[in-house]
Amino acid sequence: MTEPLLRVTGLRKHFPTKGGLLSRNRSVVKAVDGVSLEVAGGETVGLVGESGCGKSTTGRTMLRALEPTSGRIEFDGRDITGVGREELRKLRREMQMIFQDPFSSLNPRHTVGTILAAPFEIQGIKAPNGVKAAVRDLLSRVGLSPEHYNRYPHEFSGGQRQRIGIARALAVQPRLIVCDEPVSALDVSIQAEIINLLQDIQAETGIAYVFVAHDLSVVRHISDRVAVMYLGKVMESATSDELYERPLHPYTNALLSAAPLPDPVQQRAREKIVLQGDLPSPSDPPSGCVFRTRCPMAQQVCAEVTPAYAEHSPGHWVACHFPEDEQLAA
Amino acid sequence: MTLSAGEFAAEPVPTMVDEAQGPVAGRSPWQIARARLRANRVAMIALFMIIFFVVIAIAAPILQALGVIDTTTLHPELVQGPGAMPTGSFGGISIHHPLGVEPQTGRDLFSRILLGITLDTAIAVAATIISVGLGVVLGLVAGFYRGAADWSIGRLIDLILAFPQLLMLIALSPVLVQRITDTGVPQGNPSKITYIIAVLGFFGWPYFARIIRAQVLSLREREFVEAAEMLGARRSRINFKELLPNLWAPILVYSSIVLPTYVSAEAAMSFLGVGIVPPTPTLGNLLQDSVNYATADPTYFLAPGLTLFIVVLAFNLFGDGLRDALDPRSDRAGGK
Ligand SMILES: Nc1ncnc2c1ncn2[C@@H]1O[C@H](COP(=O)(O)OP(=O)(O)O)[C@@H](O)[C@H]1O
Ligand SMILES: [Mg+2]
Repeated sequence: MTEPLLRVTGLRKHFPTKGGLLSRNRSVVKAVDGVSLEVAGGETVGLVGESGCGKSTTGRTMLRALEPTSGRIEFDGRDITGVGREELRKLRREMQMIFQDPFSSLNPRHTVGTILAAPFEIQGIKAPNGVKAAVRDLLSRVGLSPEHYNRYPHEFSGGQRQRIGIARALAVQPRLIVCDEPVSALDVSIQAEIINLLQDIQAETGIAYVFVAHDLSVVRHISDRVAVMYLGKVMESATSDELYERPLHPYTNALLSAAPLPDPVQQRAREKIVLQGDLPSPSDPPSGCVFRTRCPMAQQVCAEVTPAYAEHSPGHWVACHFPEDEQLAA
Repeated sequence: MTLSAGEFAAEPVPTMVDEAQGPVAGRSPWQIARARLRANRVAMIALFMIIFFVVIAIAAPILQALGVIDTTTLHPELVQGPGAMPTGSFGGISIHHPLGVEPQTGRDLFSRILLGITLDTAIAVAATIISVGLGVVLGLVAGFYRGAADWSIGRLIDLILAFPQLLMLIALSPVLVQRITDTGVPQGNPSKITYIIAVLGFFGWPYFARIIRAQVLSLREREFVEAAEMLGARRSRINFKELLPNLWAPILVYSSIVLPTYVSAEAAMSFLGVGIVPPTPTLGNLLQDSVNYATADPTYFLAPGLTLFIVVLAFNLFGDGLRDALDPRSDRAGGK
């Protein structure tokens, strides 16, 4: 197997929480707790899980926008876990991010031209025909009119703003973009347009995406592989088709059953798994398997032994004592 | 939600370029604020009154020098009889003295109010500049660099705000005014004016610093800051290019809110006897003197009192309008 573009091994990000001025029990929020992930050049890896399970933190930490508590990040075969600030600055040309909230991700006091010229200025990129021409070119690449150069973000719709955010990430011609729920804040009708745009750009440039979403149905068609996260850990990962057709983890099953199927017959045949209880606090995760408190098939062993994240079949990884083989197909 | 691959393929790459219609050159947030301000009738009337007062403030010393107005000449012939009250009705109003004359001295009240406006606004503007300047710089430093700088500035602010301001102001006045005189500022009113400006400016900046710091800290959480960091922007670029442009509006709004409080503060200080003393006129010392004659000569009391009221009101109304125009979300009252 060739070297992946990005390889993350045992990534942890713990946030200290202050328990008040006089309190001594300073706990930590285990936002990311041992995530391993690989992204090959040109592919899309979906990262899915409920809100608060640590997807954004994973995305930020693997780009070293946040300092990892432990673990190892390799980009293009090179360990970047500890590279210094100047080196990191250079790496920003290789890896970028698209943000969830198109209303807070663009500076309201800057024109689109200023926003999109920033990458060139910051990274000292020389554009052959000048920065202005390069910005206009970027605008048309993301489906906006180059005439919009002098407009302000508030004059655009959510979808258009997200396009500007995409253009900004593309400006440095990165090889990897972490898309942190890029369509969650948008209307359903606009979501498809933005996902389309991202796919077109990938086909054109061979860029790799880590595509974060809280909803399995959104990632299905854009992702080559999908990783399902729960409480800071990856529960299961496989190719898109494999994961959707042969889910092994009860949590994946529950997520899948929450998403409607296009075929009403299938929809009715499928049993609905409703998760009980609330998401446990990431500062005090359950012992053993973190999912056991909400798992319909939890046994005694689940509370005692943390299931290993192991390769169940080629390319299909799961962390569960009782993976649900063929249960849905039966 | 169902998204099938077929649906994606069927969707052409959208060219929704014309959702934002109108002129190609966009309207900046400032232009929008200006349009909103123009549409606010109360704020516009207030603005015209402010302009009117500013013109007076600038013109009064010139008129004084030209002899058109005269704040100093005594007119003993106009204040005769018991108690040396102005002769004639309404405090001695006449062609030559449109607002009458002062009791005892017979000095022209109209002239004295005009020049009083000059001094009051000059003091308020100077004190605002000092407290805004100090507050913005220290608030930015605290918000930008956090850590030790933030901590030190925070404690300094706590210290200043814990001061019994008014008491210190009055108690320390003789000593500090003398200090100012010692540094070469002319004795008497010039030293007192310097003292008032310094005191108002010094006790005013902590509020600004806190506001600016809070703004910086909340702006830092916005994703556009993270986007700039992700592009490799250095701290200084983020501070000055990303954050600062978002701070002008609150700086302007809070300046417009404190300015009128400084006009009142000057009056209060004169009233309490630590302010500027006659013959130099301020609205504060005119009021202070006039309360002695409030029943016998109400014109003398009402003229500077109403002027002060209108000046402060105009600045306040304009400040409100400015706030609504620059930050419509703060428009809790739902006004226009
Ligand atoms: N800067 C932070 N400080 C403290 N806790 C944080 C911070 N960022 C995220 N968290 C916590 O980490 C957990 C995961 O957050 P996040 O990665 O944003 O989840 P997701 O993106 O999956 O919704 C949450 O419990 C969140 O409260
Ligand atoms: Mg998130």
